[in-house]
Amino acid sequence: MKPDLELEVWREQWQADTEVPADLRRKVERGSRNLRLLLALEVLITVVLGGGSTLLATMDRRTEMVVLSAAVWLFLGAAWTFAMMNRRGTWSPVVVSTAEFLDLSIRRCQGRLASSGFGAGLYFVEMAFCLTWLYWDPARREPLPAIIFGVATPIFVVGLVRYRRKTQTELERLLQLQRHPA
Amino acid sequence: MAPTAREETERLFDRLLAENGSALSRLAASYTNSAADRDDLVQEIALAIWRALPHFRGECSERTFTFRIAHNRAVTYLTRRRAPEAEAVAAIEVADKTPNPEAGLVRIQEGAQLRRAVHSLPLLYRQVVTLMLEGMEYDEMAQVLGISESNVGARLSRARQMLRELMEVPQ
Repeated sequence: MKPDLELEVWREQWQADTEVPADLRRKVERGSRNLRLLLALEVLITVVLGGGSTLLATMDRRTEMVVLSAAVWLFLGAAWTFAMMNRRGTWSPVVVSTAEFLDLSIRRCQGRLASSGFGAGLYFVEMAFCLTWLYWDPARREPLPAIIFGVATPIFVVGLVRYRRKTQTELERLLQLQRHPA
Repeated sequence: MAPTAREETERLFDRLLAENGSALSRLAASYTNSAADRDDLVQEIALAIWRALPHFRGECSERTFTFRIAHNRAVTYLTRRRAPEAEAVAAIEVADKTPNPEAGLVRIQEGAQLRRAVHSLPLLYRQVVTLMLEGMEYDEMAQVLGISESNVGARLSRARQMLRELMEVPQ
């Protein structure tokens, strides 16, 4: 009888060990936990900022307050849309296997890099809006907001660069591992 | 002193799990999305085997008996937990067999695509494929699934075709 080579190969592959290396497993679990924490934080920010600005606009019905509230919701909407699209397929592995866990770690790294780029862009747009909104009215022209942005921006940029570098290094290591596993 | 019926059942149970433990774990993995869920299902299967053992009269092989229960439990599990197909990975505690991600990766990686493909097969085909991959013959599969051998053959033929197609798609 002719041996069924395809079946033999499949059987061998199927019956190979399926245990995922512990540190890769821990990494994926930690990533899943962080994603859930981040989601909770985003919901909190949405409630505080979105709710707060809406409340302000309802209490103080001036056009500028309505503009501020609309802008806050616009920024929140943009952030949520990006986050949902960027995290698609990164919540959990489809199957329990080392390759799948490795793929997921890579997708998450790529997602973090994309979101840091988007976050930087959004920060500068928000900063531009805030400063314009504040200084449009001569009555609000105080130096404090400019000082806050002046201090916060370099800290944000340095933090972002370091975060991107660290994530990039991690991504390269994971890609290397995927190309040359042993 | 002759062993009591309970002792005999315990011995048989231990042997069945020792002989089929890995296969049951693989079968459970093909119905679940995380190691924690897989372990839960394996535990449910083991419990079902334990409960069914006193009624086992040797009308089929022990392996057929074990897999028939395993498949029934897996299908029950699926119907119960149909919705959370893409649940997040829960906290998993598994013995650290390999100290770093590189160790043993080649061997495991080869099977990853196959497992993914099996996992995405429709239930009817997934059932025959998992049994086929465990090395079962048509008559055994027919007994496990309670269908005719010709039915097994037809399902297997279609399932293999689907597997080939799924594995050709870059994942």
